[in-house]
Amino acid sequence: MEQVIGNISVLAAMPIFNLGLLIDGLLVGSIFALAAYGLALVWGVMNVKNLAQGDFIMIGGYITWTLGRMGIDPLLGVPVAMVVLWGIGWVLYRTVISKVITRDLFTSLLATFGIAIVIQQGLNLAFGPDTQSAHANLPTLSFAGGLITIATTRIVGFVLAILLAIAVILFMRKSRMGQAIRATAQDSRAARVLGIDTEKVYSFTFCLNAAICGAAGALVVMVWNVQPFLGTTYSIRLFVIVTAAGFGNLPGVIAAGFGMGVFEQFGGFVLGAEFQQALIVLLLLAVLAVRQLQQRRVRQAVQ
Amino acid sequence: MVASEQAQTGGYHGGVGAAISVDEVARQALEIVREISVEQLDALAGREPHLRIDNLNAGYGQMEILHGFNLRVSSGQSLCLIGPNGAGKSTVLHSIFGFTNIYSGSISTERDGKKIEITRLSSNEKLRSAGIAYILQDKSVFPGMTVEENLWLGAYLMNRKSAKQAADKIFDKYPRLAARRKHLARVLSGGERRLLEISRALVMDPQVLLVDEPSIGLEPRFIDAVFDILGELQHKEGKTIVMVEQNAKKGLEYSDIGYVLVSGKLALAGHAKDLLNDPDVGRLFLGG
Ligand SMILES: Nc1ncnc2c1ncn2[C@@H]1O[C@H](COP(=O)(O)OP(=O)(O)O)[C@@H](O)[C@H]1O
Ligand SMILES: [Mg+2]
Repeated sequence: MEQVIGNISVLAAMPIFNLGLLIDGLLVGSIFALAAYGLALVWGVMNVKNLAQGDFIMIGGYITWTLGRMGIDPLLGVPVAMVVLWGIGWVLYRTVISKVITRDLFTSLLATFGIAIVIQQGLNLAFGPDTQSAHANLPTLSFAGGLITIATTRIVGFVLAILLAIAVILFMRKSRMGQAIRATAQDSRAARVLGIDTEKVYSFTFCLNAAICGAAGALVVMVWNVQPFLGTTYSIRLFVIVTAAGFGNLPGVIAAGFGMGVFEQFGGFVLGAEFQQALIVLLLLAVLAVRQLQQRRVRQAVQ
Repeated sequence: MVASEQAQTGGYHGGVGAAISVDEVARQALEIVREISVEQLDALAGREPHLRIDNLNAGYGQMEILHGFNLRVSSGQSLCLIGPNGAGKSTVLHSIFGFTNIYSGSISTERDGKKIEITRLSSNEKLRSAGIAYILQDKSVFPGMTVEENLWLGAYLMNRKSAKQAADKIFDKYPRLAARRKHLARVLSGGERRLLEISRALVMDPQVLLVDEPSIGLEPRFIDAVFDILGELQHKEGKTIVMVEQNAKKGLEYSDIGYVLVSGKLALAGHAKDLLNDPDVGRLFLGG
C-alpha cells in the first residue's frame, strides 16, 4: 500500500513520467488494437468468438523468435509470421471452424478453447516453458535527461501496427473481397442470393485474422516477450477491448485498444508489474458487469 | 368451435371478417384441390413457356416439401403463387434459384428459342448465365453500406468496371435512388429500401425475377408503388415475374396467372382475374 501511494506521488511530482507511460501505453496499445480488430472481424462476420486469439499471437511470436535465433532480423518475422499463420488459419478453418460455424455459441467456444489448449501444449513441447524475446538491432532513445527512454523497437512496432491496421481497413472498404466480407456480416442470406460464396468469405476472414495475429505476435516478441501459456492473458485483454467497444464498432475497438495499452502501463506502474495480470482480469469483470447492466436495461425497455 | 377458438388465439388469415384460423384454411384448402393437367398450365402460359418446371420433387435435407409440382410461365408474363402459410410457396422460388435439394423432376428455361436445362445449376450459375435473379422476402439491404455499394454488390459476379456501369444504368432509371447514392441504406424509407432491393437484383439484367412477398412489412401507401415498379419491369422490359404474395388480392390483381399451392401441391391454377372471382379462393384467401 505504501508503495502504491509512493508510486502515485512519483507520478504527481514528475509529470514527465506520465508522458513516458502514456507514450509506452500507446505503443503497446497499437498492437492490442490490431489484434482486437481481427477478433472483432471474426466475431462479427462468422459469429465465432475466437478464444485462441492470444495463442495465435504466441505462435507469431515464436516464429519470429526462431528466425531471430537463425540470425534473421526479427522485423522480417512480421511478414513470415503472417504467411505461416494464414496457412495455420486455413487448416484450422477446414478441419474445425467450418464444422462449428453454423452451430450454437457454446460449440464454437468449446472448439476454439480446444484449439487454444492444443497450441499452448504444442508450444510448450516445442520451445519449453521459458519466456523468450527477440531483439531487433535498434537503439534506445532517451529524452529529458534520461527520464524518458523509448526503445526504437517500440516506435517501429507502433508504426508497423498502424500501417497494417490502415491496410486492413482499406482492404475491407475498397476491395471486392472486403465488400463481400462486410455484406456477409450484415446479411449472409442476401449475400448468398447475390452470388457471394459465403463459405469462401468465412474461410478468408478466419485466415486474415490469423495473419493479423501473426503480425501482432511478431511485434509482441520484439517489444515484450512470449511464453507458451501467455496467450490466454492476450485473449482476455482482447475480449475486454472488443466487449467494451462492441464488435460492430470499429473505431471503438481501435480506441479501446489504445485505452487498454495506456491503462495497463499506468496500472502496472502504480500497482507494480506483478499485479498487471490481475488488473486485466478485474477489467474484464468490470466490463462484463457494465455490459450486463446495460443489457438488463434494454431488456426491461423491450418488455 | 375449435376453429373460432384458434382464430382468437392464433393469427388471422386474410382481412377483416375472415374469422377462419390458419389451420382451418389449410384443412379446407385441401378440399378444393382440383386435378390440373399440364395442358391447362400450357394454355395459361399462352405460348412456349420461358420458364418451366416439370414434376418437381424438392425439399430441404431429407424433407420433401414439393410433390410433383409443375409450372409454366411465358416471357413477359407474371405469375403469382398464393396459398396457406407453409404450403411451400417460397420453396418453389428456392428451387428455381438452386437453394433446395431436388430429388427428381426438371426445371428449364429457354434462350433464342432453345430449351436449356437448369435443374442442377448452382445459384451463381443461375444468376450469371441463366438470367434468373431472386428478391428476398424481408429486409435484405445491407444497412451499413451506401446505396451505391448495395448496387455494386448486386453485380458481385461481374468485374469491377462492368459493375459500376451496371449500377449507373440503374441510377439513370431510378433518379430517386441516384439522389441517395451516398446515403447508408439504413436511413432509407421502407419504400426506398424495397426499391433498392428490387433494383439490386436488376443489376445483373436478369430475364426472370423471383419475388418473395413484395408487399410484406410495407406501409399500405408503398405497396402499390412496389407493384407498379414490378408491373413496369414486366410490361416495358418484358421481364418474366414469378412472385409469392401473402396479400393474395393485391398479388392477383397485379398478375396474369395465379397458382394456389396447398401442402406442396398445385391445388388450383387460372388466370389471375378468374381466381379473384373464384368463390373458394375468395373464401379462403381473399378474406370472404
Ligand atoms: N431453409 C429451410 N430449411 C428447412 N425447412 C424449411 C426451410 N425453409 C422452409 N422450410 C419448411 O418448408 C415448408 C414450406 O415452407 P415455405 O416454402 O417457406 O412456405 P410458404 O412460403 O408457403 O409459407 C415449411 O414447413 C417450412 O418449415
Ligand atoms: Mg414464404
